[in-house]
Order: sequence, then structure tokens, then C-alpha cells
Amino acid sequence: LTEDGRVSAPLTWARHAASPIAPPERLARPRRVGPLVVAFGAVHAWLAFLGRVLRPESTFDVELYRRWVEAGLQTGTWPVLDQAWVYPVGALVPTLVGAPVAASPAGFALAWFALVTVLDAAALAVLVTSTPRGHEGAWWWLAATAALGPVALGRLDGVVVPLTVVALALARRRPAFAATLLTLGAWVKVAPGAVLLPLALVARRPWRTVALPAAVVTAVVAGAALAAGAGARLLSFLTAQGSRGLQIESVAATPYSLARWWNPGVWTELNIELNTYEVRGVDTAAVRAALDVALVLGVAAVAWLVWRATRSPGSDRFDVLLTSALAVELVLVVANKVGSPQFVAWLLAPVAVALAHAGWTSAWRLPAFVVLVVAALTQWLFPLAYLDFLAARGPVVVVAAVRNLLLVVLLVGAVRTLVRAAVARRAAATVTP
Amino acid sequence: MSDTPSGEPGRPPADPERTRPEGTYGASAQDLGGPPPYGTPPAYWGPPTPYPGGLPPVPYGPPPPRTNPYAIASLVCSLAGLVTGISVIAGIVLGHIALNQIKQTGEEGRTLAIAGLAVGYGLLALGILFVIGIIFFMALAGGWMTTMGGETATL
Repeated sequence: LTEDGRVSAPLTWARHAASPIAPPERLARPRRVGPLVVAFGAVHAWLAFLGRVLRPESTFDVELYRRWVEAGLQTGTWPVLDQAWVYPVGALVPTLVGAPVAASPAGFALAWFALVTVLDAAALAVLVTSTPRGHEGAWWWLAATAALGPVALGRLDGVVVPLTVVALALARRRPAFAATLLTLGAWVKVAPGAVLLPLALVARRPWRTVALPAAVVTAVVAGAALAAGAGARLLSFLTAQGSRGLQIESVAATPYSLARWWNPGVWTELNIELNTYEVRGVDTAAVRAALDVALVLGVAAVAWLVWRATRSPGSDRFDVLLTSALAVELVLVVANKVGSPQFVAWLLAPVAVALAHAGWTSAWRLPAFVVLVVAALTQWLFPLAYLDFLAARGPVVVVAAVRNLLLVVLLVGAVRTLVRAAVARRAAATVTP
Repeated sequence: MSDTPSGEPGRPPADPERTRPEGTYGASAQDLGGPPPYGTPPAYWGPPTPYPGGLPPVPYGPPPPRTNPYAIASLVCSLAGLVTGISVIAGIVLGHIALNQIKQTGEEGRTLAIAGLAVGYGLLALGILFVIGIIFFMALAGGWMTTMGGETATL
């Protein structure tokens, strides 16, 4: 071994051999993982305890999953296969993990937490062993998960985030594998699918390495669902939320949220079907409609920037991928009429992988810190002070507004970084004929 | 944007697919956190070992391209903990043994060992707090759970 921990002979230590993409990534010397895995266990156990024992309402979604599974097992009536569902059909797969204990709420919850813990463990291991500065990314991810609180564990999003972490961590060397994982994740909770777009734009052979794996996975999933009798309900997740109103904690609802202090014309209503609180007031319907458009336009704008930035001579495609993955997830959060706390979990994957590659001393430090703050404020909002928030009472209303403002700032920052990369192309083009 | 060390001067960032060297085994087994891909040994392990019966590798020779068995056992035991519970202890112990061995021998399997350890510690901690939670519930004499249904969930 040479001094910097890399191999001197081509045959030794396969893990540190050159990666297929040039230049070889320099993996750090193996560091002690004991503290990391102990902290990993502690964080997951704490979130399960907080989410199940201290604040059981915060993981009530898991109880909903259990009821769907129990109903399916007892009556043979399954979501998507027999009735419309807010989730894609793939979401059935993780919920079925608790099928053997579907009769017991506590047992099902424990099985669900165990599933997310196992997936997180796999992502942690990949992060630590196959990225240059995996420890930094892994520690940050743990910290951000702890800061976000029980919703990081007690939601379907807890299943797709580790998938996205693995996909992004390996995207550099294995874009096809990344595309496969992201597509699988998209059939569970949509959000990872948004990363497919920048991945395709960044890949050198997008049809073969991204579109083909995505199409194969989709064909398999959709084929299985259709064979099981899903029919048109296969796409019910796209329309099931169409009538949904503006959720009170969403970014766009921030002015309404604050206005509740002085304006009696603004109030919140429980959407019983979806079990979410929506804001009612002047023009909320118009805001909701505008958001649906803004979401599409925002994703398209990010895609265009990625396309430009990727073709910039000096740009690092992988860094563009991570920045745009963060940007596109931020668009999905900011321009979303639904403002669920677990959406913040989507932001963790690109930032954790970026830190695992570039390290804490890179330009990613600031966004990483802000995402950490956003996660902590989100936990304050839900579940810690959610009843106060619904009643527009106390500091949590301001906390929510600050959190939403920081989300916008993050989006602006990510887009600005992409714009700079895209503009660098023009500057370079004028210099080199 | 440019903080990630990459982009060799004069050479554009290459397509990960295209530049994967066919003959090397580098950076493939570990990527998936799984066993070496499909058991195809790299070509240059070709010359069969002169020692009959598979003796341990000689010093100065290339290390064996095998995955540390303790690492596999660690992950298996930890995952089995989903059903058995108690086997996570074995998973944790085996994981630490595997990491120590891998550090010395340079074998494959570090990803597996870390995954085994993280699953082990994670499930162990979940189990401990689950027991605490049950006691917690008993102390509160039930009645608490029933308030759960009325509270909010955010889909």
C-alpha cells in the first residue's frame, strides 16, 4: 500500500481499485465504523420509540398501512388491485412485510421500523464503503434523520430514501443500476422517479443506461399489477389527490398560515379522506391550481438547466446530477400543494451522497447545514407542536414559516448553482473556438 | 459545482458504463453490497494454486478474491434477527470480527460487514426500546392507544 491508502499493485485490495469512470475515485482509508453503527442503532431506536410510544400519532400512517394489509388479507380487497389508492402499486410491497403480524398494531409497527432500519443499514454500508468520504455523508445522514424525527421512519418515504441514497451513491459507476432502483422507488412513492430525469440528462447513453432499465422495471411492475386486476387503477395514484386542497403546512400556504393570526377569513379544515389539514380562505383554490402548473414548469426548468450544464466543458456530470437531484426534489416540495413533513426526507439523499463524495469542506457544507436546520424545524412543526400549529398558536407558526422560507432559499441556491454551470458553457465557448 | 475531484484534465468525464474495464474485478463486488458478481473470477486468477487442497494464501501473493465469511454470516444473522430476534447479537459479534479480519487481509465484504453491523445494532436497539415501550404502556395502564386513531396523519 502506498501512503495515501491506495493500492500500489493492480491486484490487491479490489475495493480500492480504479473505478470505471475516470478519474479513479480516491476512497479514504477504512475508518472505524463502530461508533457509526452504534449511533445508527441509537437513532433508529430513538425515532421508533418517539414515533410509537411518546408520539404515537406521528406514525399513524403505519397503522393505516396495517389496516390496508389486514383488510386485504381478510377480505381479499387490496388497494390499487381492487380500489383506488393514493400510492403507486409498488407501495404494497413494503407494507406486506408486516403481513404475518398484520393483526397486531404494535407488531406491524415494529416490523415496519425494522424494514426501514434494514434498508437504511444497507444504504449506510454502501455509502461508507463505495464513496470517497462516506463517513461524512453517513454521519450527516444520521444527524439529518434524527433531526427530521419519527416521520423519517414511519412513512413510505422511509423506504424510498435509502433506495435513492444507494442509487445516487452508485450512479457514477452504475447508472443503469441507479435507474433501476430509482424506478422501483418511484413505483413506491413517486419522488425518486423525479431523479430519473436529471440522471437521463447526465448519462452519456441515456436510452441504454436510464430509459431502458426504467422501462423494463415499469413493464414488470405494471404487468404484474395489471395481471392481478389493477386495470385503470394502476394510475389512480396520479388522480387520487386531484381534489386535494392546499395543505396548511405547505410552502405556498405560508401567507395563509401567518394570516390566521389576524384574519378570521382564513381557517383550516380536516380532509377526512386523506387525514390532512387544508387551508381555506381567499383564492386558495387559485393558488392550488397555480401550484399544479408551477410544479410541472419547475421540473421542466430544472431539466433544461441540467441539459445546459451537462454540456458545459468543465462541468462534472456527477456533481451536476447531485445538484439537480436536490433541485428537482426541492421543486417537488416547494411547488406542492401537499406539505407533508416526510417530504423533507427526499432532500436527504442527494445531500448525503454529495457529502460522501465531496466532503464536509466542500461547497455542499452550506446546503447540508440548511437542510439539517430544515429537518429540525420540520420535526418541531410535526409532530412536536402540530396541535399548536393547527390552532395558529405559539412560536411554531413562525417556525413553520421560517422552515418554508429556508426551503425556498435552498431551491434558489440549487438553481443558481445549476445556472452558473450552464452559463459557464457560454463563457468557455467564447474562449475556445 | 467543481468541488468534487473529478474531470481529469483533457479528458471528459467518461460514461460509467463504457469505461468499466471488462477484465478487472475492481469496484464491482462492493458496489452492490453483495457477493462478488455472479461468481466469475477475474481472468488473472487463472493459474490454479499450486497447493492442493486450498491452502491459505501465501504472503506476498495476491490476496484471495473471496468475501470474508464472517461478513456474510454477520449479515445473515442480523437479518435473521427479524424473525428470531436474538440472532442479532451473533450478527454484531460476527460483524466486528469480519471488519477486523478484512482490515488485515484486505478481503471483500466490508460493505456486507457494515450492513450486518448496522442491521444488528439497529434491530437490537429497536428491540430494547420496544420492550421499554411495552413497560411504558403497562405503566400507563392502557387507554393511551385508543387516542391514537383520532390524531392526524399526513399522507
